[in-house]
Amino acid sequence: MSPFYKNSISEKDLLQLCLKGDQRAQRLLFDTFCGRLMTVCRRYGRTQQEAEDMLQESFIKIFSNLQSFNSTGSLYGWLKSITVNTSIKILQKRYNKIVSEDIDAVYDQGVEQNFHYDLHAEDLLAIISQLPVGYNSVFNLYEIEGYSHKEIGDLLNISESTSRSQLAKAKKILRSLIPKNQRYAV
Amino acid sequence: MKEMFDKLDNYESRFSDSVWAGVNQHLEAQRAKKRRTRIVLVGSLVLLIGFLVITYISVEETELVSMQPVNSSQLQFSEVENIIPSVNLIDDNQVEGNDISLASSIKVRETNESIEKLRVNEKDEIALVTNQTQEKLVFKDQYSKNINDLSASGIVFTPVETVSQRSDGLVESNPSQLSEIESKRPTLAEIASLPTTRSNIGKSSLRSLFVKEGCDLLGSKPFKSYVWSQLSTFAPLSQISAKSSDGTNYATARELSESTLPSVEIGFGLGVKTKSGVFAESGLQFAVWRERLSYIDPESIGYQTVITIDTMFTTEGIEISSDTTSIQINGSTEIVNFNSHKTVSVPLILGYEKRIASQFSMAMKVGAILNISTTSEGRILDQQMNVIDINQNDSTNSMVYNTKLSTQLMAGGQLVYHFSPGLDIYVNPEIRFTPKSNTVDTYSLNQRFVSPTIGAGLRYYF
Repeated sequence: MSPFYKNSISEKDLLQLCLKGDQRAQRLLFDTFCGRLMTVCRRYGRTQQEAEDMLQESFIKIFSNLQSFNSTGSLYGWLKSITVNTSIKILQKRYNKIVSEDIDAVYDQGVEQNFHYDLHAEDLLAIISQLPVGYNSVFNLYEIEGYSHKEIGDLLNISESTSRSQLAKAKKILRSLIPKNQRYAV
Repeated sequence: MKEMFDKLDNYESRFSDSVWAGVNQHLEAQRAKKRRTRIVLVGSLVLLIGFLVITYISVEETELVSMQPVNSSQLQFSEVENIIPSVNLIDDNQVEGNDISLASSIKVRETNESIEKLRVNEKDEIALVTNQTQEKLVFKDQYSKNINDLSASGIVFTPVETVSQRSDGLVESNPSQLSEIESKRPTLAEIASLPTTRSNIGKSSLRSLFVKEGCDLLGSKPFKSYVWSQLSTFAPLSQISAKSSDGTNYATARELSESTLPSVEIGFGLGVKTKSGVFAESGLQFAVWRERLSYIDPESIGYQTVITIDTMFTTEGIEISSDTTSIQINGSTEIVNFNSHKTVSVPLILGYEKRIASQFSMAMKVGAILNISTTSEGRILDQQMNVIDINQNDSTNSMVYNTKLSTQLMAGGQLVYHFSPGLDIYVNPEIRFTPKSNTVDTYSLNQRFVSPTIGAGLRYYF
């Protein structure tokens, strides 16, 4: 069901109004998705302020490129992909090369699959934000966004092996950060 | 783990109201840009229609004059009569004289005559009196300046009574009257002592405010229209100042990190020029302002401590040593970026042109340049000395630069070469100044520009 049902307006109509520059429609689109997209930004940003900058920049790009949205796809999926790309670009600008090439690549050993974590979203976000910026990006892109290592390599301008290595290290750090009483074997 | 990440994907985080404020500010800037574009389009359309209407009316008036039959008996030559002994007719039905513009503009039907008198009526039509006492009606083209030059040199204008029409359609003056006028020609000594000469010039000058000089291709038309095109290069010299004492260091850092690069501008538009030389122009100008950011991050500077040990011996042969410690910089990261601001502007220019030689004129002009659109690209320092992007779509842009309508004031000169009656080539040095800062109110610095400009262009009269 359209997330706009409470406001009795279809997604298509809302986008049309936004394209015409209708302020109320733009605000409605923002209000509808800002919370979830802020969560995306918090996963990539080091601080709350950085995440808010990412969210603001993302919405500016969203409104500037709204005409390029293909209405057959998921609107949230499109908004999220813009937010992720914008966040990555901001990280690249602020931290120059956010991931350095690894010489001693350590590959994913799949240990975490033996555990189930039961964390509140806020706790998980807090833990993810403690990852170094390079690990954080690779972890988010691979584990949450579902990018392949090749796609991550292209996006971050690193090799696939480096992406795998960064992911493994990120998981290792994450495991050490998650309190033991919050995980149990399955 | 996947369930947990799915839970995370649907989780809504909180954030401050400043996010929407920033987004809305950008959206508002976009709306304002759209409004400006509409205003400019409508304004340009109105201007174009206005020019077309004025041009149409002017052509209509001109045709009425030029289609009149040569019937000088009905003309009232009440203004002036002048004597030009140095001008002669040549074989190709043109007048030969010292002034090229006069020679190229006055045509008569017969040859081998010398012009003795020249008359101008209210419609700017010329009657020539030749050595055969015939008058021929021709139409004015670039003659007025010559009259003024002659009047300034002391030629006395003498009132003319009536003229009669000959059977062949040409005009003939009354010979007795003409000889009477001839007899009144003063000597040079008399001219020098004549106070009335000045008053006559005054009358002529007052009238000549509207019929003075220029390539008048359309006879009695009070002004002429032209299209212009110009290519300029300029140096946007930035003047950065802090709005409060807190921003002084930041202002200094920005001034030191940014330098001016040669910038370019191309423009075209329409203009009108009166016969007195007053002209007004407008059009569209596209400019690329270029700057260079060069910044060495202090944190990137690597320091190395070098200790140099000098060994010496005393006169007793005892070895002593001293060490010198110095700190050397062994590396740093310099960020270099080329910034550009692309602007679309509407110039509103007013000027006055005066002929200084047969084919050259000088002009002075002043005006305002309304900047209707600005897009920026590049990087600058922020208050924390971080290098930030100022691209149009970045939120930092709207936090620094004012994208609303801004104005530049300009003043300059112009050297014009009259290449042909319908075409002028000119160069103009100008100085431009932005009286108001191009930064937003909430930004801690003011930034103004002084831009020395040199341009070259063409005017084509239609």
